[in-house]
Order: sequence, then structure tokens, then C-alpha cells
Amino acid sequence: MTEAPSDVTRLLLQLSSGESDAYARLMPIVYEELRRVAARQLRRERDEHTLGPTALVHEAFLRLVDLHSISWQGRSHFFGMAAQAMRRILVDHARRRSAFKRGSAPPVTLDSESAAAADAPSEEVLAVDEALETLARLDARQAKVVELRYFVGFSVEETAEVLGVSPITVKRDWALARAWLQRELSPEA
Amino acid sequence: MMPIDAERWPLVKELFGEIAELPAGERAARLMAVDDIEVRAEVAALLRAGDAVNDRFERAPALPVDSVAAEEDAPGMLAAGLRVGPYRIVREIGRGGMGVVFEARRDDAQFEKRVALKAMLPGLVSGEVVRRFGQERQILAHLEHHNIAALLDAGVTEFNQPYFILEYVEGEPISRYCASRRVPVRDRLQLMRQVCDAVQYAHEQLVVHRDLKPGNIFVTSDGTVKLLDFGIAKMMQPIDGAAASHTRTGLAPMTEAYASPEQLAGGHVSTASDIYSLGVVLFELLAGRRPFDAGDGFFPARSADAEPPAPSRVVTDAAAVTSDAGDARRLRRALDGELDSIVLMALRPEPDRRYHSAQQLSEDIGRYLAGRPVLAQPDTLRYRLRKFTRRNRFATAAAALAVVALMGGTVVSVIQARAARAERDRALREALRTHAVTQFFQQVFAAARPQRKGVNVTVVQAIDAAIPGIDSSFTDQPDLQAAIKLTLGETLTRMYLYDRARPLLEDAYRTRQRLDGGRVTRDAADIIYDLAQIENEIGKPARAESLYRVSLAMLGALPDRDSVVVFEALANIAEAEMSQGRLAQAESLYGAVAGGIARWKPRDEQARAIAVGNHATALSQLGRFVEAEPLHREAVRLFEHSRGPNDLQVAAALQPLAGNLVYQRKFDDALVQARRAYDLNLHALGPDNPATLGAERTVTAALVDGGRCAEAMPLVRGMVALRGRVLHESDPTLGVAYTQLGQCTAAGGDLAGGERILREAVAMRAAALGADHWAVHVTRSLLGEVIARRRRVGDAEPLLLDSYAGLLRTLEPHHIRVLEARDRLATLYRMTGREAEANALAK
Repeated sequence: MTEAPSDVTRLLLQLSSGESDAYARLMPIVYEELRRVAARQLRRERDEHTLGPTALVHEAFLRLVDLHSISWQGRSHFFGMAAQAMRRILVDHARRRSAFKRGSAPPVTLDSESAAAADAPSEEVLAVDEALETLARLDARQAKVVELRYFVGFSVEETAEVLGVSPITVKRDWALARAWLQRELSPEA
Repeated sequence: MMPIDAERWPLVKELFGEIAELPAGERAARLMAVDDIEVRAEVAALLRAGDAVNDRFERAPALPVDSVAAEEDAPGMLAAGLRVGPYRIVREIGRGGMGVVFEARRDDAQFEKRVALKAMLPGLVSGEVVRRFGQERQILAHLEHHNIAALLDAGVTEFNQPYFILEYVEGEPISRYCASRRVPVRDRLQLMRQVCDAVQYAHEQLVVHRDLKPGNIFVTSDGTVKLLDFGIAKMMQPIDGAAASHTRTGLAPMTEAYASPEQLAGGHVSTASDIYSLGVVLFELLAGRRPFDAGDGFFPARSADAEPPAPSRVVTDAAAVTSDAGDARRLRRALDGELDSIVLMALRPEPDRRYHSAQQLSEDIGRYLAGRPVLAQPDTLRYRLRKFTRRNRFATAAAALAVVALMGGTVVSVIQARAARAERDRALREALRTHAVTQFFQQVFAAARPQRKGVNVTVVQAIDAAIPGIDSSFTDQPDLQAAIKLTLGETLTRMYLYDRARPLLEDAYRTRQRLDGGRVTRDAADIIYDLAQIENEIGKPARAESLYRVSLAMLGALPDRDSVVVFEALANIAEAEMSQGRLAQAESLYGAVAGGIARWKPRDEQARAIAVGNHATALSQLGRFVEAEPLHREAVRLFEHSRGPNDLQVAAALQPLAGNLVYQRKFDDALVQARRAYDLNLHALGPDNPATLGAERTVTAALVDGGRCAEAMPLVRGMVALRGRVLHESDPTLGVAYTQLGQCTAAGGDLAGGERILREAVAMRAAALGADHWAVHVTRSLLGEVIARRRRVGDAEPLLLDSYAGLLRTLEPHHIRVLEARDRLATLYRMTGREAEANALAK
């Protein structure tokens, strides 16, 4: 017995029919599963330096959801939620890393090479996360696009499917969002 | 320059999309055509940034694979005397399979702070565990709840050993706390609600405890629950997948007796697992033992799908002795029924059939405590009636239902109550009818589900849509139409949708009257009663009262008159009389209700307490303090006995008793009772709660009237200080406080100051209550007394005379306030040598 796919599927169906309770129950499961998959990958692939979030989210989806009974809407809900969970995992990770860098605790990572390589993105992850809060107030969908494109690495088409809009719309949102992030994250701004 | 807001963002978006497509040479011209200068600047800046961004942000950040630290045993074993960061270890206070807990002190600054330091046993610390620790502490650091021991700090020692610094909780495990103090069942349930609140909060923060058990649920000496080790179980767990085997080797931190079936099976752990553990803890608190025996460490004692027994079946004598029940038989009876159902619902083997959240469990316990039907149990008529009369309808308004979520359940319970009644009356016809009614509602709720993507229909909308259909659907079955309207009307009443309920109920009544040829039926009486309830709820006591009287007459005319419902109706009429100021009528009705309940339901102590308490309050308001006092005391005693000595109902009953004693000039006793009410309220509700403030005012009154102005002054000044901030100018409380301030100022020798303040108090109270209110006359009489003491007899006499006359007009002639005013006037006469007039007054 592992994470019963039917449970998640059922909760997704409930979510589609407007039961907000389902969201609160699903989020922890999705979050847990993402971390679990990541942990398993870490043990399996010692020689790799990084794990791609896209692959993690897809694997979590396959493990958690019964593909025969899930609707299009349920799929969208799942990936929307997974994006949020993934963002949080990456941000938590980056926060821990920059905390260690500031010397508040001895670094856990001993491999200096991968630690150094990871430093630059972790600053960016935190900055994007923060900037996204502002963007979400201007345009919630645009913020969602960033979450899916940047934090999960979904393609334009995948993002369009999850959000239920056309790829052209995602492309436009994404072009502006990137320009906006670029400006928000540049030092003189 | 104003930043771009959400309002103008669509414009920015549109322009950016359009201009970005243009060749570089044409952009400037197009930009200049933008009128809004800020939008223009924003778009220009974004276009520049867009050119510079290249492929930045195009690649998702990867999760770096940390090389895992060498899995050697850390050499550093923590022990007393050692320092960890700014903390000095004082002593070891506990040790488990995976970790060890110390008492420690932070003694860097001026103050010393006691904390608990929890560290993993060094041999178990792998690189993976350290990794996970770093992630988890971020989550735990955000867990801030007064029922959760706070995570103050966390770190890794120089030997790579993770540790947590937690709030030091002075208390004992909930099971021991309850047993050693013989905590009554109701208070155990209240404690459990605190536990649920904390767990719910953590679940909302995505933190699952995973190891809830009495050893992690502490209660401090003041009765506050503190949950320990939230989320720590997971961090201290070996890498996932191995959990099942570790359970059996006793290495895993999870405690088997409290673990859910899915945890035992090594399956997915979710918030539902915590609900299960809460169920085991509740089971143990009620029955004195756990639903399953603990395993021996190697073999689990139960299979994953084992069904627990009902708590009432397995109560132990020890549990009975250490609770308020006395013996096992009584405890069994107390648990049998709803409490069994609540516990068993939390303990269902299938995670998705348990309570969906800790909050839901807590609410169901709350419903039980409030005497309302619980979710966990199917409704029967007997059950519903039992609840009905136990409900405290005179207390503050019942907590609002989670309307839409409960809608389905409410309809079902209304239908089932009707079905049960039908068995008694006209079994077959009614049953068929009920079936049709049920079907109708199923259709309504099917409509409440989204029909198309993106279209959500609320339950209320679905009902509104269904109402016209009732008349067109069952044209040849008017009694069915009436039944549906009655059911729907009662349902909507329970949802507080009175405007929608009333026309349905009235319609149902008219149809029934036509069908029954004007004969009195139970349905008709019920409808009138429902309509009376509505009028009562919307603040129309006069209309409510007349409807109650009609329903009472109808109920009385029925062959199977139900005494319980009759008392309900009587009590409601009394309440309506009371709120219309007809105290004498209310008093006699309350007296009848109290007598009736004592005779018909002698064992229902809460119903008795409520009835006796209301009767006592009516008597006190009539000024019949001597008669009222023993009844007030009886209400206190009944609440203490049925709900425990620290229940808020006890405080609610103590307060009018204290007020009564003040009027009887038994100040010392009044002070004792008022202080007890104050302490109970303060502890449970905090200092700013109206109930706490009310009790504080009673304490103040007992002090001021008892002549203990020195002690009262700080309280009075505190109340006066609330003027304009917490208390509105017209708040009657303020007038009371100013009166007391004036009294005490004068008593302290400052007669001029006292006079000035009392004049202000008179004005305030007249503004708040009307010029001819007895309380205004009391204040005027007090003012007259101060003026008399300033030797301005000419000013004082008319004031004392007029206020005395006013009191005679507004209160019973032997009311203590009347007598006090008379004595003040008599004192003035004596002061001026008019003994004859003084003596005439005394007669």
C-alpha cells in the first residue's frame, strides 16, 4: 500500500465540483509526494548534479492520479497545485542555502563545487518568489504562468493546457512577465 | 510617479504586446502616442527590460543534489553541562528511541530563559536526515499557535547533530492530567477541542504531526493544552519506505498504539492519520484504555483494517473513578450514543471516511457539548428530542452553522425526524411521502453540482430554482406539496434563511388547514411553532409570543401531547414576555417551566439549571431577591455538577447570583461569587471579553456598594478610561462607572468633585436609558445626598424627594434601591432637625 491513486483522483474530482475542503487535503499530499519523489531520485541518481522539477511533477502526477478517471479539469487542478508546491520546495531550499551562506549555521553541504554552482540560482529563486507576490496582485494569471514556466519548467503548451487558455495568451503573458521580472530583479530598479 | 496598479495593468499589457511586435524604429512613435504618462514610462521600461532578458528565467531552477555527508557516527554526545550555541544544558528530561530531550537555559543576556532542547541520538544522524532537517525547520518556524509549544530555534551542532530548541512546557501529559485531577468528561472534551484546534492550525500550514499521543499532548496547570514535537516525528523518522520495518524494530518514533492503520502498513501518511491518532487519544480519555492493545514491539497487535470497539463497551473502573462519573456503569451510560459515534468516526480504518479535518472533529464535539445533533450519528426522533430540550436556547446565540456544508445533513435530519414521527402516526402513508420528499431533495442537490465547466450553482440558488417546481410537480398531491414545503421551510430556518423559510411555512400551513378541514394536527402545530421561532429570532417578541401561545394551545389539544415540546413553548413565551419587560408574567411562566422540568426530566440537570436560572433571574429583576437567591445557588450547583466546576455556564450562573447578593447587601459573599465568575471568564475568554468585563463590573459594584472604595477605585478608573475608546458615549456601562466614581470621590472627602462627577453621571444615564429610568433616579438620589452633605439643603431636598418618587414609580416599593433613597431623604430631614418627617417616612 502506497499513496492510493484513487484518493487523490477523488479529491481532484471533488475540487472540480467546487469543494474547497478537497484543496486543503490535497495540497499536503502533493507536496509530500513531490518531496518523496525528489528524495528517491536523489538516492537513485547519485551521479547527477541536479533534478529537474518538471520531471518531478510529472512523476508525482503519474504516481498519485488514476489516469483513467481523471478529467481535464482535475489535471489542471493537480498541476496548478503541484506548481505551487514545487515553488515552495525550491524557495525553502534556496532559503536554507542562503541562510547557511550567511553563516548562521555550518554548511551541511560538503561538496563545495555543487554548492557554489547552486548559489547563483538560489538567490534568483528567492528574488523571483518575492517579485511574484507583487505580480500576482497586478495579474493573477500572469503570476500563475511564471509559476508553471519558471518553477516547474512547463512548456508554453503545457502551461496553456493547465491554465485553460490558448498558447498565444501564455506566450504574451510570459514575454511581459519575463521583462517585468528582469526589471524588478535588476539592481538599479 | 504613481506605480502601476492592477487597474492600469491591462493597458500596460496590451501596449507591451502590441509595441514589442513592432520593428525597433517604429516603437518610439507609438509610445509617444500613449496619453497616460506613467503607463508610457512603464511600457518603455518593460520593453527595455524585455530586450535585455535574453533567455533568463527560461530554465527552471534545478534542485541541487547535495552530496550527503559521510554517514559516520558523530562523536559528540550531548550531556548536562555542555553548551549548544547560546544554550547551556541543565539536565536530561527524556529519552526515546531516536532522540533525547534536555532542559536547557539561554543565559546570554540579563534574563535566563528555560527551554527544552531536543536532539537526535548521534548514531542515527545521516546526511539525509540533516538535509531534511534543514527543510523542515523552515516550516516549523512558522508554526505559531498558543496550543503548540513554539519552536524557538534550531541548528546543527559542530558534530553535525541537528537539534531543536522548544518552548519549555510545564505540565503533564493529558491522560495523567485528567486522571490525577478527576477531570469531568465535559472538561476532557473541552481539552480535546483545544488539541483539535492546534492540529487543525498545523494542518493548514501543511504540517502533519504523525505521532500524536498523550505523551506529546501536555496540559499546563492552568488548563492550557500544549502540543509538543509537531512535525518532528517525521524528521526523526528514518528515510521513507523503511517505516514499516522500523515500526516492528521499535526504531521508528511513531507510537504504535496511536498510529493509524495506514501508518502501521507503512503507507501514505496524511492529515487523516493525525485525525485517527486524535481518535485514539479521545478514546483513551473517555474509556480509560486504548481501543487496541499495544503490540509487543515485534508484532503489531492489530491488522490494518481492525474495527475498534465502542468506548462505552470497554470503560474501565479506573476511568470511572478518575472522572466525574463515579462508577463504570454511569460512565458507560454517559458515553453511550453520540460520544461513541464521534470517537468511532475518527477511528474509521479508511482515511477518507474519518472526519475530514480536525476542525470537523472539534465542531462535532462542540455540537455534543452544546446539546445539538452531532454529524457522526444518524438522527432519530428520540435522539432529536433529547437534544432539543437539552439545548440552551437562553444562552447567547448558537454558533452559526457552516451553512452550505451542512445543508445536505440538515435536510436529512429534518426528513428523518419526520420519518420517525411518521412511524408513530400514520406509518405507511407517511413513509411513502417521505420517500417522495427525499427524492425531491436529491434532485435539488443534484442541481447544486456544477452542470457545466465553470458554472457553479450554490445550494441557495438551487433551492430558489426548485421552489416554483414544488407546485407544478405534485399538482394532484397537495399533502406532498405541504410536506415538501414544511421540510424545506424547517431546513431554511435552521440555515437562518428566514425570509425564504417563512412563505414556505405559511403556504404549508394553509394547505394543511385546507386538507385537514381546520382540525388541529401535529404538523399544523409544528408549523406555527416554527413561525414563532422565526419571529423570535428576528427580534419580534410580541409576534413570537402570540404564535407560541397558538402553538401551545394546539399542542395541548393534540391527543399525544408531548410534555417536552410544551415546556419548550412555555419557556419561549416566558422569554418573549421578559424581553417585552413583562417581568411578572415571565416569572410565573419560568416558574412553571422549572417545576415542570424538575418533575418530567429530573435527571436532565442542564435543562433544570437553565430553567431554574431563568426563574431566578426573573425574580431578581422583580426585586424579589430573597426568594431568588436559593434558586440562583441551585442553578450554579446544577451547572457545576453537570458541566464541571470550571465551565463557563457556571460563571454565567454565578454572575446574577453575585448581583443578587449585592442588592441584598451581602457584600462579602457577593464579592466571592463575582470574583469566581470573573476568574473563570478571564481564564477562558480573556480580559476584553464582554462576559469578563461584566463580571468585573459586578466585582466593582460589590466593592463600591460595600464601602470599599479604595479597592474599587482602580477598577472604576479602568472602566472610565474606556470612554470613547472601547465604550461608546451612550454605553450604559459608562454611566454606572461614572456613578461609582462620583460615589467614591465623595466618600474620599472630595464632595465638590463628587458632585460634579455625579451630575455628569446623571446626564449620561438619562441619555442612555431615558430620564425616567430607575437607574437615573438612583444616581439623582446619590447626587442629592452629596449636595446635602455640602450643606445645600435647599438644592438637595427637591432632588432627593423627586428621585424617591421616581423610584417608587419605577420599582417595587420594597426594592432595596427605593429603601436606600428613602433613607437618604430621612437623613436630610434629621440633619435639619425635622425628626417628625423622618419618622413619617420610615412608616
